[in-house]
Amino acid sequence: MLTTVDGKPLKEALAHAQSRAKRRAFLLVLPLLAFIIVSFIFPIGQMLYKSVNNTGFTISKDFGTGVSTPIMTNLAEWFEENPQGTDPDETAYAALAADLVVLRELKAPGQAGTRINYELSGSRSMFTKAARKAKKLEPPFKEAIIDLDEDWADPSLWQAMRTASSAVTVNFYLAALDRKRADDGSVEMVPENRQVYVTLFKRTLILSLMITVICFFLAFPIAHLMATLPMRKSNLLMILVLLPFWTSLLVRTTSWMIVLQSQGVLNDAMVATGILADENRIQMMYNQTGTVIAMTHILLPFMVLPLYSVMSMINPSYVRAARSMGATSWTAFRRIYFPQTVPGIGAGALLVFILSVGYYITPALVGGADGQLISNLIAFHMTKSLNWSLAAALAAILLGAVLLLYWLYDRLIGIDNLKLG
Amino acid sequence: MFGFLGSKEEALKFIAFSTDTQRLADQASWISYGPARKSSGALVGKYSDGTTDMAPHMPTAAANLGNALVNNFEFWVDKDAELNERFNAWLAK
Repeated sequence: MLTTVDGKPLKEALAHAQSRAKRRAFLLVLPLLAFIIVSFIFPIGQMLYKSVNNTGFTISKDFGTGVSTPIMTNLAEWFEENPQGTDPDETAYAALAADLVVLRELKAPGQAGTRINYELSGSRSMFTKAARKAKKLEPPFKEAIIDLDEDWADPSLWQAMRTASSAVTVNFYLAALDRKRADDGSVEMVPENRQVYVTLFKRTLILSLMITVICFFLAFPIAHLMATLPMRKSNLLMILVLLPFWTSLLVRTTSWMIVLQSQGVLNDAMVATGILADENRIQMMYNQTGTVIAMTHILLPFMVLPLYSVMSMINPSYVRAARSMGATSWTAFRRIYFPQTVPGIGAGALLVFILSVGYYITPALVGGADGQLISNLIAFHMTKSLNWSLAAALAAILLGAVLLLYWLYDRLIGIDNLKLG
Repeated sequence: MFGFLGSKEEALKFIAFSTDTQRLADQASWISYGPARKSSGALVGKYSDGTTDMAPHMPTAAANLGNALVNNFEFWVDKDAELNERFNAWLAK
């Protein structure tokens, strides 16, 4: 057996030395790992959790003291004992009355009502009103509560309370796909005048695809020139690509607004030169066209740079060899040059597509009415309507779609073929 | 009039003073904001220039209240989410 000088087996000594190196390497990546867990994995996990868990109708938290108290417990018990489809009887209304008293004490009728209002519009004030009078309610509770507001007898309300009485729910995913639960618990589409999310998901994917394709056709010749021109000229081109890349996103977006709006530079120039009549100014901003133009410009460097780095590695003698053996320039390009650029195309397309699927600022500024993407509605639910569970469900679906595309890409082209530089 | 570090009692006295009928009516001599007390309405006098009669310019004057719009908070609390959704759906078409 081989041993080291001090008599230890060589294999053991090597493993010992290697484990120390491994530990040191792990300690080196530890800060990054901790950062990613704290700032990336944990928030995304929390978001995914929020999309299937909403405690608005089950737990009330006093943020002053930090104490959490279960609410609507009597009603939850009644729902558990009585299966779907049971008509609410006197015991159900008695449970509701008892829960309303608790709600009033905890100052929580608002949150419970808000949760039900997500499922059934118009029900929030019923909770605040009934809770205010809850203490004075006398049996029989059924008559007493329906006397407050006859909508309390509405089967949709009881269905909404049944689903909300457990914190875990898939209803926000249903809502994010323009669907809802019918009174009997089955899934149905929401009325047509409220269907918006599926349309926006489709539009987001189509526009992102369009932006990716346009970016590819614009970036390919530039990258090719940059890779083949002599150093001085290609450096100039490189600066022209990088300068906008280094400019603030807001500056670039607003300059497109100046150039393209109906009273903007381009329209004014066309009217002044007589190409366009003054009343026929083209609407190029605050619609889908504006979104596509501005986003293509902003995302173009993300396509140029990977393409360039791949193209600059391609040995020019391959194409020369093909030409010398009689291939036309088109054949040499198609059979020799283009296949070698595929890793760069894959990397650029994936970068541009994934970035544009989640783009928010540019469509918000130049999208107008029909250029809004799904991220704008996610922001709307985060900051305006405060329906965080719905925002989380929308974001999770978007995340799922991107992961699915990534998986498809891996299947079709292979992620090992990706080259960023 | 009041010490900078007044007591709670003095603060309450100040609130009572500044929101009493006469004081709210006096406000109208500077700006045409309707007084929050009904009883102040009759006491509204002239503008600070001493010539303009402020009473008919008040939003709370009977003649002006006829076409006033009342903001129904309860309606918006209940319907805000749904109407916003419908608006977004209409916008996205």
